[in-house]
Amino acid sequence: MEYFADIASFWKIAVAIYAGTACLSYLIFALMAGVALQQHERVSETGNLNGVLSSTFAPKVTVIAPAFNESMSIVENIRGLLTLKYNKLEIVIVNDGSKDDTLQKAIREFNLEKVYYPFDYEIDCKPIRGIYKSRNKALEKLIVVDKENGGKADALNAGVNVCRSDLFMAMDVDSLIDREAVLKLIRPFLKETSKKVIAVGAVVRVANSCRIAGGNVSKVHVPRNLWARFQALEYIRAFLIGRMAWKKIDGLLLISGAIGMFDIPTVKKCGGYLKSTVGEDMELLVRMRRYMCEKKRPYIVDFVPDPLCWTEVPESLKTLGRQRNRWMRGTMDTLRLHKRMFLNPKYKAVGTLGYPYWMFFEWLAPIFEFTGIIFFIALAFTGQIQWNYALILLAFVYMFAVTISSWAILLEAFTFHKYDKPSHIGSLLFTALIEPLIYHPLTVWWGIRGNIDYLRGVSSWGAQERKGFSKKKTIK
Amino acid sequence: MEDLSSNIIQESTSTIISYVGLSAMALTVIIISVTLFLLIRQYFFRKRAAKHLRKNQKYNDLLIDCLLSDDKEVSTICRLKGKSEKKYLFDSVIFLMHNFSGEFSDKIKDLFYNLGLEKYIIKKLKSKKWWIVAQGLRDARTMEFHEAVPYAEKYIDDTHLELRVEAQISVMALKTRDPFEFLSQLHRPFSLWARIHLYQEIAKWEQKPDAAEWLKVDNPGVVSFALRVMGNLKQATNNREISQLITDPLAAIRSEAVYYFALTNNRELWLKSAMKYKAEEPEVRQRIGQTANMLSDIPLSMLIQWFNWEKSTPVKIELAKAMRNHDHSKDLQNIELAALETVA
Repeated sequence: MEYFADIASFWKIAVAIYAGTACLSYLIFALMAGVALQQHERVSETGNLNGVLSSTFAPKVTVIAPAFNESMSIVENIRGLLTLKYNKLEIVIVNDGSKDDTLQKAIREFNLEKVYYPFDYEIDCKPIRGIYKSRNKALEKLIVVDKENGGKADALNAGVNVCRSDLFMAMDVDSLIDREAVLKLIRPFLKETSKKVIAVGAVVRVANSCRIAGGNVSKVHVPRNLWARFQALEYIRAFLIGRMAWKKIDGLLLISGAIGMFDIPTVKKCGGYLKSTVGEDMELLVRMRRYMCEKKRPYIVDFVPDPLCWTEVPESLKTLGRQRNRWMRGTMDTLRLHKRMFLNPKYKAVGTLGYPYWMFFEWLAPIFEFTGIIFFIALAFTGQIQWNYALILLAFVYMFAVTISSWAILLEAFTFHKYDKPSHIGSLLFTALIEPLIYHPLTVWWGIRGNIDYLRGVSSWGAQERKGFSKKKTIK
Repeated sequence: MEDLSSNIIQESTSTIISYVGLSAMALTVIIISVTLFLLIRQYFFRKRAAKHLRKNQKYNDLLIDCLLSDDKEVSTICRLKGKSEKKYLFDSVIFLMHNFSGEFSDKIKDLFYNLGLEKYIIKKLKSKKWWIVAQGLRDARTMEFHEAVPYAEKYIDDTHLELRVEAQISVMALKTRDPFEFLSQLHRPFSLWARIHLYQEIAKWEQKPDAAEWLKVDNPGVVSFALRVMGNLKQATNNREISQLITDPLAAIRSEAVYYFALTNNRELWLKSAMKYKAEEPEVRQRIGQTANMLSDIPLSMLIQWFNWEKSTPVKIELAKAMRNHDHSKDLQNIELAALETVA
């Protein structure tokens, strides 16, 4: 019993330190994000982005969109990409060995023909069966690559091998990209002079329940489905607070696979996307950062807070759980692969702050929380809980979580103001109130499952179910 | 003793509990305040946006009336001057200036100075906040407010890139004598962002500047910019002077020089650069390959020799394209395709 009491007191101290550090870091992030957003607003007013459009000085950019069994939406998605505002643009669609008629549909719709198109397998990818270009000269910027199935990372690598630009924008073919996305993402690459910009990320928002027209979001709406609404709030919080703060600290470890622009020579030198991981987006950025630090080259990873990508999030618990499980495995894999960066000052803010944060508050957080709950139950059974203390502490944690979410909603309302109706704000605030009670425990559980699956060696992506934008109410 | 220590523990526990409880209450208050603030702001935000739109529309209409009427000096200006909301008027004038040209824009400018609205520009230029100064510089350019030049010159090498670029464009656009003098005063790197915006401004000018003058500047960014401007504007210059750039230590400048030779059809210097392909970096080799199509009478033997020696696929592709363009014989295409197939 005495032994149990010792563990209990040790655990109490550990939990207090952990919770205190977490709360403090969230508080700092929230404040830093506010400052960073304000700075961005000032900077974005200057200059003329339209001047970049036709400038001879502007670099060529390739958009790489991997497609696997996208027969239902491939035509609409390619059409959406063709409307992107940028002159020196190349669009590479990589058909990753689809089993349906994705390629045939694209060939038929865009009048494609197989062409002779030399390239090098500079970074590892599965064999490319053919490269297609349109007979229509107006679609000259479109390139369709047909390759053997190898997964998303492999398809992106194939795209990088084929493209002939200095920069590429990686995206999910089923996401909706803002027409000005390339222009806005390229801005940091054009501006920075003393450091090399190796990657730029942007905000991803939830497109569920939004009205879609011509491959773009024409009217924003808070998701009607509760699970999607939880994720909408989570995305606002993660992108507007988390990513903006990490950008300011220069410790950003993740650029979403749904949208991001990268420097091609650096990606090639790093060996491209890692095929054996399910968190290829995070792993690539960490590897790029590691490479630049080891070569002692000054560099920067930037982040644009503009919502440039709209994605459809899972609306069923099963699919959502699978997605979160995969994200957890991806995080663990990246942290394991780059463990030498942990608290290593050689890697600057990434090694000393970014990596430890991801380790303790992303990977280990579900484990801490889960064991905490188990321990709490054990203490309750042995009558060792001071209920007044415990209840007040729980109230504090709950209130703190809601405050951070409210702050994120406040930042959104002050900056991009995408949710413009009072009912939208009301709905998001209500979601913030119930999120810690319903959604958060589930994310803890999925995190635990991810940990178990990772230790068991599970490396699959898990089946993805998407309704697709074309099935919803669309206006053409 | 034991009683005392247990009392202390109990007291400290109750203190912690009260602190945590207070924090929880404070957070509750914050949440309620944020919620109320957001909902109220949302309501007023819409109202305010509608009000701004209405006011701006009103002033736009008033200004257009004024511009269309002949007795603007008397009645309409008096009406406009009588209004207390000059800030809206200022915004409307700037807005209209962006949307009109020719005779109308001259009239808007007259009206702007008659109403004494330039004081808003000066106020912005005197601000201590860089983004307000940048805004003032933009407005000064729009209204061709030449008195803004001394303010702009202060910021041409500022630490804030955005302000720096705005100041550089403003000096270029508003200074009547030596508008490009500032290029020799730049110590900071000359970003692509700045080059794009400066070239955009130059493109608007009827009489183009002699960019060869800027080649003497130490800043490599300015030299690259000069070469591109000269190339785009087809400005030829002394061969002896410019041939030194072929051996410049910076690959970016050598690459830009090759592009300039191609754009100005300077076959002699282009060939001089191309001949030393073996000693060149891939970046420059690729540029030579890309520009090979732009010139005539490129010796085919050199291209084939280079093609066989070349290791970089992107350069090989460019050379293949050049060979295809310079000779359409079937044999050459077969050689070229066979060689390329070994690459891919």
